[in-house]
Amino acid sequence: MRPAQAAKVLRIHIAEPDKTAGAPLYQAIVAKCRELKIAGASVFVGLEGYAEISNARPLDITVVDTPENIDRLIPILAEMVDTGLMSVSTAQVIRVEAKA
Amino acid sequence: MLNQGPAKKVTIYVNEDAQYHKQALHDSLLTFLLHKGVSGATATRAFAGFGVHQMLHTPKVEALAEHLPIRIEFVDTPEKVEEVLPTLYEMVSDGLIEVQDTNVIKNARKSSKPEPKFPHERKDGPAKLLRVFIGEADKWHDEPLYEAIVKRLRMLEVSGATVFRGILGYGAKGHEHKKSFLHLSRDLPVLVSVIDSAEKIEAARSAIEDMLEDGLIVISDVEIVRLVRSPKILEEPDAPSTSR
Repeated sequence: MRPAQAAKVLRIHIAEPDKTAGAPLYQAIVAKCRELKIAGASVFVGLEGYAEISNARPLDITVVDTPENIDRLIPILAEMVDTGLMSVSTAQVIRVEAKA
Repeated sequence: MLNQGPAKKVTIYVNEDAQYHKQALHDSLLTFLLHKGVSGATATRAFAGFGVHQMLHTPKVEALAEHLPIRIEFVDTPEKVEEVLPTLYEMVSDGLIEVQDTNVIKNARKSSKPEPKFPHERKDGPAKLLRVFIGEADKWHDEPLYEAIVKRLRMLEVSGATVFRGILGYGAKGHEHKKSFLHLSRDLPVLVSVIDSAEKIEAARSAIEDMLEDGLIVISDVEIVRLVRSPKILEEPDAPSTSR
């Protein structure tokens, strides 16, 4: 059994056509996470959904990292996300790494 | 009802023509086990064999063909086996009784009637959410890893699992998970999401951990607001039966 570490899970709920500086917002968020050396980020598409005005497909970006890194990331992403929702929850992570 | 997990297996060897109170002993044994509510028992006739009397019972010699060995086997909880063993000991006056530890993997029972449908009811409670982040191309013994994980979870009787495929991502391996039109192979992010009690999630965690080569397992506390079917409808008079 590997030791579990305390972590935070950040989920950003946006819509597929959301843009920032002309580029798709989800791509910009993933690029920003990489730039900030966040452990990982995955983008999932919903089949259907609704929010304020848009009827576009909902996207869910999930980011898992240490509480410090997530706390560092939140204000930066908050600047980028105009309409959308960010939620944070605490978690325990078990990281399994490939043997070299 | 016999559940998944440790159990006892009892094997009894008797002779086909052994008697117990003027009845065939193997019949009496089965009747006794049935009466005791043992979860199931099977009697098989051997093709040939010999026992403590050192007499070979074989269908090749006509005179010996009626004395073939019979083996009765059943699997049940250690408590149930404790309960029936003294009587079996008394009944088997000529033969062998053996008990071994065993592990029940599956005890499935097909119900003859379709499950009654109940109106929905809410049920709340604390639970654990387990998320596994892997790649679509990850394999487990040549089988897609996410499929293998779902199968394993089903075997562990975890209440449910959902597999999501992402459209973009990066993680442990550092490479971008991206859909590529130029390559047939692709490795998009895959998320397996599971919600169950703390004990089940712990079992799931250790099973999945052994299957992953690299990847991330994330566990968090959640509140379930569950829709279940309530048994209230059972109190209602018989509804017209629906054909399956």
